[in-house]
Amino acid sequence: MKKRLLLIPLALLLALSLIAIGCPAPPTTTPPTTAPTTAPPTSTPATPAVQTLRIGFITGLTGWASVGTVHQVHGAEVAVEMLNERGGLTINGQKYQIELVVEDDKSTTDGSVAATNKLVYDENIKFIGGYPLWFAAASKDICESEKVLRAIVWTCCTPGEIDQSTPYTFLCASATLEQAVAVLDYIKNTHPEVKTLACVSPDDGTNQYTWPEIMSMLEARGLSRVGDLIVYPNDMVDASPIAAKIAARDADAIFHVNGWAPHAGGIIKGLRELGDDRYYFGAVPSSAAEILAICGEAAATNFSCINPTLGVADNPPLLEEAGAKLTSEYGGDLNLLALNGFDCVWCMAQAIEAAQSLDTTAVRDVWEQMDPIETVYGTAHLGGLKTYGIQHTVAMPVAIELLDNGVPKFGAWVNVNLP
Amino acid sequence: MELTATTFVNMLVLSSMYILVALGFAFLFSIMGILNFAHGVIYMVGGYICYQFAVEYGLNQWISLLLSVLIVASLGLFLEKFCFRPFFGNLNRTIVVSIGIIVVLENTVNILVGTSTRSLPAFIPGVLRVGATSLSAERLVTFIIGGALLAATIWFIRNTKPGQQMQAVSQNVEGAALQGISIHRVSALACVMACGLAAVAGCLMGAFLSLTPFMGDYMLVKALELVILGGIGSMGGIFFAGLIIGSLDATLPLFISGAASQAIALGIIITILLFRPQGFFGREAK
Amino acid sequence: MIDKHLSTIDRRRLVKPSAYGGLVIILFLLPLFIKSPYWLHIFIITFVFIIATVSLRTIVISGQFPLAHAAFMGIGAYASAVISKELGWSPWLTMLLGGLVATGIGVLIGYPFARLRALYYAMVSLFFGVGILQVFSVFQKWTGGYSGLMGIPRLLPAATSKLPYYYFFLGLTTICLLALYRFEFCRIGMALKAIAQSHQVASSVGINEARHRVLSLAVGCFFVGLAGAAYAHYNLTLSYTSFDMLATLWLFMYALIGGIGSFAGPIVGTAVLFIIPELFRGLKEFLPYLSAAILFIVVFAMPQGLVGLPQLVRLWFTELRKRVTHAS
Repeated sequence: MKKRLLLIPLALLLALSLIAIGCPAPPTTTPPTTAPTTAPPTSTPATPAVQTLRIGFITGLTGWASVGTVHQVHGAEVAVEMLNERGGLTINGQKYQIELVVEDDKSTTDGSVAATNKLVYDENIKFIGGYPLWFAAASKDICESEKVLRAIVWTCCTPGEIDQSTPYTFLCASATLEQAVAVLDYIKNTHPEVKTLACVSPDDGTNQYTWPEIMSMLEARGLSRVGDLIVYPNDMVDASPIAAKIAARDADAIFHVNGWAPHAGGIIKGLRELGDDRYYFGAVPSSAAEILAICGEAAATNFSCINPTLGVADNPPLLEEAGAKLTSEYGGDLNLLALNGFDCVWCMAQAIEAAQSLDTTAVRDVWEQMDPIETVYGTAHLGGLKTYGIQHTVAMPVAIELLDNGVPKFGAWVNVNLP
Repeated sequence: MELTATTFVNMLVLSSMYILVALGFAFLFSIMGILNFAHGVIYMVGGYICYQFAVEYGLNQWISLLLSVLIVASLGLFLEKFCFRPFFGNLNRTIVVSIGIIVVLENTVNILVGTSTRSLPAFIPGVLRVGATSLSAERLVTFIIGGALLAATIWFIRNTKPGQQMQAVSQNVEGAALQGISIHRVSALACVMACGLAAVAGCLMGAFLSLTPFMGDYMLVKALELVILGGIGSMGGIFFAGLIIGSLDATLPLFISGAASQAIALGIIITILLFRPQGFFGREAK
Repeated sequence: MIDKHLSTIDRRRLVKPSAYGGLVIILFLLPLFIKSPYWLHIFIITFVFIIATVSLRTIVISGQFPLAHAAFMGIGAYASAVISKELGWSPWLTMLLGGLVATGIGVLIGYPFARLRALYYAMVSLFFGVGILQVFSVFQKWTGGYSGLMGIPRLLPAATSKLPYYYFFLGLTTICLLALYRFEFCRIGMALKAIAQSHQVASSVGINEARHRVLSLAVGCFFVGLAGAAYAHYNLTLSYTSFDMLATLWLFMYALIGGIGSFAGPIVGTAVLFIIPELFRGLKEFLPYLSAAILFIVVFAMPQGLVGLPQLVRLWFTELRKRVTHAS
């Protein structure tokens, strides 16, 4: 009884302190949705010299996916920082500094929808970036009906996710199809001896939409697939059965589309253990260093993945600047996902400034026609009209990184042409 | 032929992997009746502590493993005293407190070190050729250690005094207390051992697979599956259950793609349970 | 004297229903004060999960542990979504169908185990819960796999805001809870509780244990399937990752934190564990610590769960008063 008596006031104290920490501060002045007119010179007070433009960002800060998705926030923060350092945005003579409003999606669809509701209805935000994994689809309804402009960082190519029914959604990073076409071009250009591929993908429901496209890309480049598509469960932990299956497949090389570092790392480790030395082309968004950490030096050879390398002469200067900032502020190696988050904000900011308006319809109209558009990976073009049904994909160059005898190396820059 | 040999090896290794992970959980659940959902996160913490010592501080990896076991075992002592002992026998509250522990530990590790997927270096590097196939030395090590620990645990329960005391407590708590057995001491010892076993599993798996803050979630479900199929109350049961589940997971993906192989594996297990609901060696059917 | 006795009984019988009735009225009038669609959304999701947790409790009071409860929510959701999308039937009809499909499958799984120890049903339902997600994945052509099912028909196509949905879900929750309440406190419900306490005594009184357990499963699964289906037609996209083992565990958490011993327990628990984290979004990545703190405080300090809080506070004040009077 005594313990319980003590615990109640303790609980109240804890609750009060949490309220003090956690309760959100009253929102800062919300920007007008239309560009402000310059104030008449005499009677009315002058508009402030610099206003705040709030851009939202939704990604996983907690939950199982946060291992990867938390980097996207870092990239977005760096983009906002760099934009503000360059003087922010100037729209119709009014200067704006950008404020990033981050919400956590808790690695669940429900969390993503709740976060979108909060940003759109509670914070009145009209520009949102982020939406990793398959979460973009769940918020489509709210954002399209409220005309909220979204710069999403991934698409699963599900019909309805990004097509004619989503006029306010733009894909600002290389997703499955973009990465696949880049790696296929890389194979054709640098490994012409490879003619047949053993194809591997995680079983996450997107293959029925993506692989018909990827197969036509394959065949258009004179390549062919041996056998059916090898699929593994998305929550696969031990890759040895799949590695055995791949090792038994008679093809020139292996082509892995989608998935993440533990998958590719586990599979290549299993393959090399079985004595399979074939080239492993991974259209997998993870750094070679991550894969190396998982598979070990002995297995880390004849491998390619998708990640830029800092310090290479071909790199765009924006990449070097952003990369340096990211590694100094957040530590660790350069992370592709961080750069994708960077691009969401960077591209959207360019579109807003080009449109000279904060009205999302006007910005969208301008964005659709923007050519070229600057990204952290280099000069990009708007594409995707044939593939997605709408020209809302920022088709940017893709950097291939290699693992050669246990050492990460720069491979090549590949331009992405997605019709 | 090579595929068959490889698959056979995979079956054994996968089974030993699951058994190793489930060992600590089965120990607490079958012997002490404590449903420790936090087993997954303790397993994960063990792996990360070993990483800290082996990679960050540069100690010998086996010494790091021992250190990790010691630290996690003392964590187990702490958990037993404050989280499991007050709710001994009350399943509902044990579950709630376990989930609380999971949330705290997972989130802490995620915030501290969760930004990259890591992996422990192999405990014994190198690849061996075994007949028609090859096998990495660390998988062999996992297999050997898993089997050895299982045998040691069963021997401990059957042949040592503390082990027999645990059996007594699991059969009848009041009766055991009347015999003069200190329930608290037995419970504490069981928790310490279970957490130590979890730590060993975490270290070995961390080298074998990779380390993420959420790797415990998947393994917890596997541990539950093993204990249920093997039968509650029996440690020997998880051997056969591990063999079955490991074999299914190693062979089905070869013939059936993706999720269907998992669905069929679970269907087979449910069918087994339909005919033998108490698992292989479980106590008392109705 | 007899009249006085009767009047005290009458008054006590009015307290609980009037408390619930008052709550419904407050919730009915809430949108007048809270206009933000964000909060309406949070309340709608809370209503859905309240139905899920109360139906969970309905099964638990018969002594069984449905470790696949969230999976049944998914079954109801997907059944309703796929049928209405592929066959074009009205969501109102397919919602009920979704509940019935969940019931059918729930009974199918539970029936073989109805005569055995309740523990065995718990174990099988664990495997079933994990397995059904894989089955959803196998039938990707219809369920859309991980990335989800899109384009689910709206429940209220004419609605231009969340307000009609709020009232729909308030109404649905009220009806479902009424049904579940009547189920628990009628003869069948009493029989279930008797079985849970001691199945030997219950059988000796002539209660057919197997039949009653299957019945409680049927009722529990129906309502959670219905809740899932309604959620599908509100959310318009589904991903089966929302219905995994973790989701079931959290349903249990909501019920246990609120107090599984009383009917209001799951309602209170769900509301607290949904609404409080939404208030504290500012904590960002530290928010899980808040949920953990709630779990720990309730499990250590409140054996009856959150519903026992008023009683606990009353006891605390009594103790305090006693100490003060002793001191003086």
